[in-house]
Amino acid sequence: MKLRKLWSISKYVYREVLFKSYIYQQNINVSDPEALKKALRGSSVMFYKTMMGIVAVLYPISTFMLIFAFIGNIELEVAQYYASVILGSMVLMDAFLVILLGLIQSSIIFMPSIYIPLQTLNLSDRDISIIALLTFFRVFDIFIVSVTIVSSILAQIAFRNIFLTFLVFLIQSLVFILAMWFVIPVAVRVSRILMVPAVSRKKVLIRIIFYSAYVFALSMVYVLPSLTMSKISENIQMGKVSSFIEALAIYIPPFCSFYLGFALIYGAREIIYPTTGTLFLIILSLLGVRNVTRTFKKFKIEIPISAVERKVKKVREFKLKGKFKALLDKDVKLLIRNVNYAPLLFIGPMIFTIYLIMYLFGMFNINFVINFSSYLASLYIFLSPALIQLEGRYLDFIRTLPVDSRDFIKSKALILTISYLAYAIMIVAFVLITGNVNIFAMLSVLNIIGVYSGIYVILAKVLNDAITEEKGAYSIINTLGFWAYALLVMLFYYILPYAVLIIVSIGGYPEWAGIIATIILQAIYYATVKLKKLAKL
Amino acid sequence: MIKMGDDIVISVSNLVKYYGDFKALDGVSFKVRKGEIYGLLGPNGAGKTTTIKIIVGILKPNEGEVRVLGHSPQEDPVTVRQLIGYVPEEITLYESLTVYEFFEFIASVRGLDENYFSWVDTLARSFEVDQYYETPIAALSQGNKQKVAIIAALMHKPPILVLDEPIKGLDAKSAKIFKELMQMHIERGGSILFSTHIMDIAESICTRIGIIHHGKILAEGTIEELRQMVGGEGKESLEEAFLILTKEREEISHVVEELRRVLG
Repeated sequence: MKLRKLWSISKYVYREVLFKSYIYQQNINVSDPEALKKALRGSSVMFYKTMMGIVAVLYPISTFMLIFAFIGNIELEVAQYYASVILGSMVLMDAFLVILLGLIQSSIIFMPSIYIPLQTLNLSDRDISIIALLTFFRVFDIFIVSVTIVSSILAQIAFRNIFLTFLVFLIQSLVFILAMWFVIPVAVRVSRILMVPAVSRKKVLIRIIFYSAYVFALSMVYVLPSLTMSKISENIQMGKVSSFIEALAIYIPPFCSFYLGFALIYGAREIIYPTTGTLFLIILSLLGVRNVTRTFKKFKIEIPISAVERKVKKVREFKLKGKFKALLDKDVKLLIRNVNYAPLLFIGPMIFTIYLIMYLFGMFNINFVINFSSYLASLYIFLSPALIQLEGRYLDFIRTLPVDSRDFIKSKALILTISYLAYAIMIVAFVLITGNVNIFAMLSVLNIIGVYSGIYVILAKVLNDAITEEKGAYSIINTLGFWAYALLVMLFYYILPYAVLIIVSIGGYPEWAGIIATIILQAIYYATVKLKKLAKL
Repeated sequence: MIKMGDDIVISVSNLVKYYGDFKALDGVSFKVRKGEIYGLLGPNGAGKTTTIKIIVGILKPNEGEVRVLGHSPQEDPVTVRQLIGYVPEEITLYESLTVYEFFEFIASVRGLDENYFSWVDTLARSFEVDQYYETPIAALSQGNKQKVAIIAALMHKPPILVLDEPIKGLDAKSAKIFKELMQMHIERGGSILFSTHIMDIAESICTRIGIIHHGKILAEGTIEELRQMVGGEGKESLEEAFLILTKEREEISHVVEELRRVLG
């Protein structure tokens, strides 16, 4: 079949991919008509592409504004370092967005079920693999094209040099190829997990390692450019280029490619390393192109046979638990086996590790790391509805079992609190080791009942609304009223203890007064949980 | 307050249910007696699933009342769910759990002890799902998921079974086994509320039938009584009686005529 015809068929496949990814990411209850209507609106190709286009245009504009602001009055030799690092950061940030925005959609592209309707049509296997490749391009099309064009135009305005403009275009394209290549193996793996969740301990452990490596790599792609921006700002204030910025500009692709461009035009001392780095980037991108096309050439519509394991196990081996423990066990399994939600379990320790690395490299000071615990606690408040959302379409099922609402909520609140506690223990160990013990650092552990209570109250709100209004969790969470409520919960349960400690600190009161106030607050928080009325499941 | 007679296990009285402006149920009333299979029969969208979801306590009625062995599903849902084994129309099981883990979870939540193990094991072997114990539910076929849902509903030997299109997706062997199980349940003094739109099944297993259409019970009785209601000679099949009662027979002949004309 002609490529043009296949391209037009891929439009329908992409529409389905977008809808499925939306349903999956939001864990929408398909029997909730209101949620489905919202999902249809939210997964409209026109709406989604417009949003992508806006992000794609705004980001390069803000980056080039930084270039104008930073390097306007700096001598050329220094400016080359800064401009290279800023451009490299922009390109990396774009790559981060490509990976983040495209992963779930790309995973659905690798699910055979998407192509089953096509198998009933007059299409060959080769046609279907081309459709899959074209659908994959559709995931990124507007974003990649918009970013590349806008940043090239801005580069021409900024540098007034066609070679540098071409360089921006070229490096941006190479990094996008690499980002798409990076997406594929992860997407293939995620698609398998979506089809058949791993259940054995070994597989779950491998998956945790996989999540951790993926989240860590992705975080670094995000953290590195953000960090370089703040470092450049510091460097300009100090009036010298730090070794960190210099090393990035000369040795690390894609930063070094921009440095090479400036060096070739304006002259610079070092060109061997940037040339090697750029060649490395080009070779890697060519490999990327080869691998992307090869993956789709080998693409086949078949469900893995290993999906169905037949092995008889006698029921007498059942390990019966109490109701609450059974719920807790079920919630942990659902969470850990869901690609979208599993990172919730590790988010605290993971973020702490990243910031710890930054601290060890001298990029953040200790107060930043300590104060981050309040942000993280707030993050848990806003993420906690995801656990009801995870139940999503199963909420009707749990309501056919003799389960108490309080147990249902408690189990989920406990899981998130334990995840937070891991972070809190890390922070306390950190301050003890570094000898920076203060009352603010200890608050992350002191306010543990506050953290639990805040999560509990938010979950109770979602559950109560879901039952009384007969709506899915997704419909409830996506309202302004709900987020206003979440904000109030955050202020009361997480910000208030900090405010109390600040007053104690500024007013010159003894630290034990702060500790007593925090303990009293914990009693109040616990009382709010006990008094909270829950709708019957 | 509805008074439960000795033999009434489910009493549904004047149920009204709105979805927005749409009136899904318009005063539905019926009773299920001890030892009977009550068939709730109706076309798609008639209100069968909404009625059943109110009975098991998933939905709340706007008006009317339900009692299950004297308990209200809205006021005392936990007790009602212990009394009921429910197979929903849309099977939503925890797909990332294995069949084994799922049974273990249900058994734990329902507070079962070792005495039930051989029963669960026998059910699993009868429906041939024991070979999938280690398989995540997501990887099962629709028919096997249906079997898992049936076992989960029967596991605690409840006095009442509420079954919403339970045979949909089952192979002939499993459907036959399931019908036998329903019979055994009745012989042991249990009761069944059974919803379907497949006439043959209703005709072969139901003791009494309530015909629901546009959110109202149009007629109720044994199959013989329904045949008499349509004023025929008593030889009409349940399907014919149903089409007459729901006034869909004429509509069908118009549709068939139109199809013939367009097809040429």
